[in-house]
Amino acid sequence: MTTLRLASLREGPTAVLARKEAILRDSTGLEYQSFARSSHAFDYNALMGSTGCTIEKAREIQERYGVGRTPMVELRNITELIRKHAPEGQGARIFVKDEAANPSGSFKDRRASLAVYQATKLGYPGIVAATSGNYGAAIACQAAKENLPCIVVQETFDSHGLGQPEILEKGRRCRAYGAEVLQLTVGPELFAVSLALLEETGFFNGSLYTPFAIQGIETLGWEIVQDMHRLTGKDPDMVVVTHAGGGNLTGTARGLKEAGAHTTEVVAASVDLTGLHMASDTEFNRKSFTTGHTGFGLPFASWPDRSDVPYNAARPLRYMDAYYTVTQGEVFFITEALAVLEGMERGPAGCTSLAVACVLASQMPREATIVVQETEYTGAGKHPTAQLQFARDMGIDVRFGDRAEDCPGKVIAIPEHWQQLDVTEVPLDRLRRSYLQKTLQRERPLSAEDIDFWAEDLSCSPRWISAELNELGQKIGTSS
Amino acid sequence: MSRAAKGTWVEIERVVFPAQQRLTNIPEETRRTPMTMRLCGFLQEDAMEIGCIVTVETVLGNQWQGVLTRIEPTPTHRFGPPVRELLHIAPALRQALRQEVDPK
Repeated sequence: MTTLRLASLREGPTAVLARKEAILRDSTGLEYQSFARSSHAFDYNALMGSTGCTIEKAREIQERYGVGRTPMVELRNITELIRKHAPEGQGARIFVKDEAANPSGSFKDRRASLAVYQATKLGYPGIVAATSGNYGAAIACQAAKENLPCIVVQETFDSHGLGQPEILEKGRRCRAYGAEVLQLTVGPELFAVSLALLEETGFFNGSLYTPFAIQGIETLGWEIVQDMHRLTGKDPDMVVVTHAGGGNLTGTARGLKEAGAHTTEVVAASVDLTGLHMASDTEFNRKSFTTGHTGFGLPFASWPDRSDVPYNAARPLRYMDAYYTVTQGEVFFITEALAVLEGMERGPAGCTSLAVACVLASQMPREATIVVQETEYTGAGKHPTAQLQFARDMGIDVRFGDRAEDCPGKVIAIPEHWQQLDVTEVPLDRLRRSYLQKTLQRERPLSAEDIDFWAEDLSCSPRWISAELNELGQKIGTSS
Repeated sequence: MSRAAKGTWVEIERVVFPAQQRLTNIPEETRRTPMTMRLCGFLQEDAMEIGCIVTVETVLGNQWQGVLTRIEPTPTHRFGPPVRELLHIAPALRQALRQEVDPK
């Protein structure tokens, strides 16, 4: 029996945050600094290769934990409905990978299984995960299979103790798998709490952003290609990924490439929560989506290393071909459509990418195929009825309406008709520019190696990087 | 007020960072409030009331101290009542699927 005091937090969050590098090294077994190549660049391939885990090995581990090999389902009625309204000859076939069939109800079991495997293999006495999402439930679930003690740290409440219903449900699920759940009020100091816990317990850091957590998702991309070859005889033309922290997109895209699908377009989809600050005590409960939204999607694309590890293994701009947003109302509409037209009652995460897929399908030829790469479980707290009632309780105007009327934190406009669905494109160059601006704020010297690294990391030409640096008044060999 | 007996499953709350220790780069409305933490466990003392400082032991065997906030806490999240705007979607979609559209 241990009395946990988190005594190291008495002096405030800054002291423990200053010890971040050492705590992360000890709690992941990864020598992050060995991957550094210059003051900005690091060897991404070496980082990913450092685990020694291949897709075959990941599949073997996941089979042992009951993860993956989920059904690929064609959405025939939704495709038919799209074709009724699409220009002649258009309306791509839509398929969905039913990831809700994983043990804890989402694709997050894929990343959690590898993290738990690694923690067990290295002999850690337990695992800590800091997440309000399905990942907590997945870590708790996979840890249960190894009888590994598990602590989940969740951002749950506002300062009045009011909890977002979806997060409360996820907390319940973590407890159901035997985890200790620490539920915090809003704020980024959660990271300091997580570090202090890692330090005090000596547990493994089940971060979402280690190479293991990303490699666990590569099997999803790989399975998509096998499924689509079996069902259609070819690679999918497009895979739409609900995007938040970037791991889902990175892992899926890497798996697609590993399986040889080099021409498949990888499209990111997020719910638009523009205007809501993620660390605001008063805005925390004014959103109806707790993940898959722009509050994570934009900052994690344009600054992946803001995460809880020195080098984030999730680097979405390396693999993203396009990025679209939809409104909260549109996702609720599509969630209903998936239930009543396809007999699949599922949670909001995969429905975000489905909403985007439905709009893009109408602009693609009938022979084309789109894969929506995940679904998640639904239930009390996560269901649209629960979310919309909570929104109304918070004073948000929920009504029928067009996407133009939707205003995050104020109005949720639910479409009445299929034809009202649309998407908003996020220009990738804007994200690339923002990435460069943020990285230059670190005020470290620039080298030619950095330009090549950024060109790879942002999937653009070194020439574009040089032109942008010029624009920002930066020169190689000088300190930024 | 009811008192919880030793061994009862309860929820406690503890302050992690008082308002003056919060990071400076966060929104003002968050910075004004302390960061608190809630967790559940088995009560280690007898006859405790809500508001008392108590010790709990979690399912992992960890002991934590804090203020007793709920006794045998019940999950508060539900499915919620029917939402009119959602109820109209199913019939509209089914009709749209049946409807013949003029060939373009």
